[in-house]
Amino acid sequence: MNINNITKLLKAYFYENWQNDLIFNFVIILAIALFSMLMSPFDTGVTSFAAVILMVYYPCRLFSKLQSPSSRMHYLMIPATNAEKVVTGMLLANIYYVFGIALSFVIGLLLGFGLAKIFNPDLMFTSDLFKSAFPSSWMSVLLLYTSIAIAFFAAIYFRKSPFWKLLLTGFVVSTVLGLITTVTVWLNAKAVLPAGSFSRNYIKTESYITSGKDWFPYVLCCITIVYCYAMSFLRMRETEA
Amino acid sequence: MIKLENVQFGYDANRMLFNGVSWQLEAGHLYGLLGRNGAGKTTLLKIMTGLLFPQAGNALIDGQPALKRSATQLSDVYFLQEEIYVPHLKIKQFEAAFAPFYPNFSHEQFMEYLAEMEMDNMPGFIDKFSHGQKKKVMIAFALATNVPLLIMDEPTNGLDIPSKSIFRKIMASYADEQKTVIISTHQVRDLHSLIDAVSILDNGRMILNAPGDVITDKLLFDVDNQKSQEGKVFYTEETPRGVYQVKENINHIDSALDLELLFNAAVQNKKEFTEMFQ
Repeated sequence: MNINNITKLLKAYFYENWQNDLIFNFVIILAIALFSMLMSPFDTGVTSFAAVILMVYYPCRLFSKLQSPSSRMHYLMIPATNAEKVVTGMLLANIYYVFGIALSFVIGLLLGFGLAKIFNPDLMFTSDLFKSAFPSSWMSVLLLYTSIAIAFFAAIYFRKSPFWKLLLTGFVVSTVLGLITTVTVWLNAKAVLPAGSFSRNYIKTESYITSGKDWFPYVLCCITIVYCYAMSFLRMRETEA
Repeated sequence: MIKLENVQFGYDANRMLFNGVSWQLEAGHLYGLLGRNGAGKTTLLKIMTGLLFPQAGNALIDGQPALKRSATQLSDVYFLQEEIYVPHLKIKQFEAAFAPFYPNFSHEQFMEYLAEMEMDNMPGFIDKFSHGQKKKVMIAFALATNVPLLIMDEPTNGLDIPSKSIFRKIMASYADEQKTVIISTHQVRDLHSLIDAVSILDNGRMILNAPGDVITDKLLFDVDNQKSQEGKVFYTEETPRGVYQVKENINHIDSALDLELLFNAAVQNKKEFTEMFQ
């Protein structure tokens, strides 16, 4: 792994994309400013969701050059190893996009707050304003980076429309897992519980992932992240023009 | 330097495109890779550069498998595609973004080639240029990289007539003993004065791979008003200007290599040509 090659790849990325990225972030700032002005600058629900979606959407665009044969050939022939290309993508997805989008949200929220204050001078500034731009716990940070890793893998695996294919896959996988869980619980409950007593109360409904009290979800996220990047590297290595 | 050993490859498992192609390229030559449509010229070039992986056999660059696509290997190779991809960049931005990957890239040469092709003061983004203009920029960039292995797939496709002459002029001064250039083309008339070694691919096999002087030593490219009776005739073409022939050069007479006649002669006499130039 040569750090010089990674620097050159980053430089090439910025030459190609700085204008698009600037426009994209400008649109985010305006959208967040308008939204937070019209709703409430402290209403973080929708804006938090939007931030996460954007941070996951953006890595899906990272390998758009693998879509068409001629751009794929151009990309594969750039003198850097497959590992260097994957690492460059990881740096962009995990640092540049995340902090770029978070910064745009902060600016957008500040702008929205300023505009809202014109109409409502009693509005008081607190740090709660920025809640939607930053994750609320370490578990949220880990979940965000896990989602980015999954999106990254999807970007290499699904060459065309990776974001939508990722959403569809997520929907199908969660539906199938949900069905399997429901059927399994129902069959077991039927065997051990008296007839007619099966109800939701018998099932532990809190999620391991969201509780954040156990080591298991942290390990699961870390394994997913490592798995996604390792698979991305292998996929890149076997990519042909 | 570049070696293909018994390469087998097919896009479809039941229909192989190459059944054991071997090809060795030496530095200091400008190779013309000729073949019919669909013969697999571009595929072969992609295998050679590690863009496609052979199902059997090896493609080696300086003794290392091309499919590794190491940074060092890639910085020694430039592949100018037929269907050019250019990012949304201006010429200077393109140079700033991609020239650093090539250690021998020369800014002066790039500017010189652009000027010769009348593209040096071209404003705007390259991806908005016409196909021919994009090609000129990419040819100038490819040449300025000064890589030891330059591969050009149909480089004159889309170039206007004056640009083709400029291309020939630049290429004539480009080659040196350290560089290998491969030009894959259908338009042999555009390039016959440049090419000093010829490789002909047909039906998944390399039926000829030889320097021009070896070819003209063994074959006589003759034009006359009547069919010759001397030496074995491999190919004859009657035209209003006379009878063109490719025949055995039994008296070792010097003649000018005609790529089109050579190609037609080779595909009609595969077995003899394979043995003759082995």
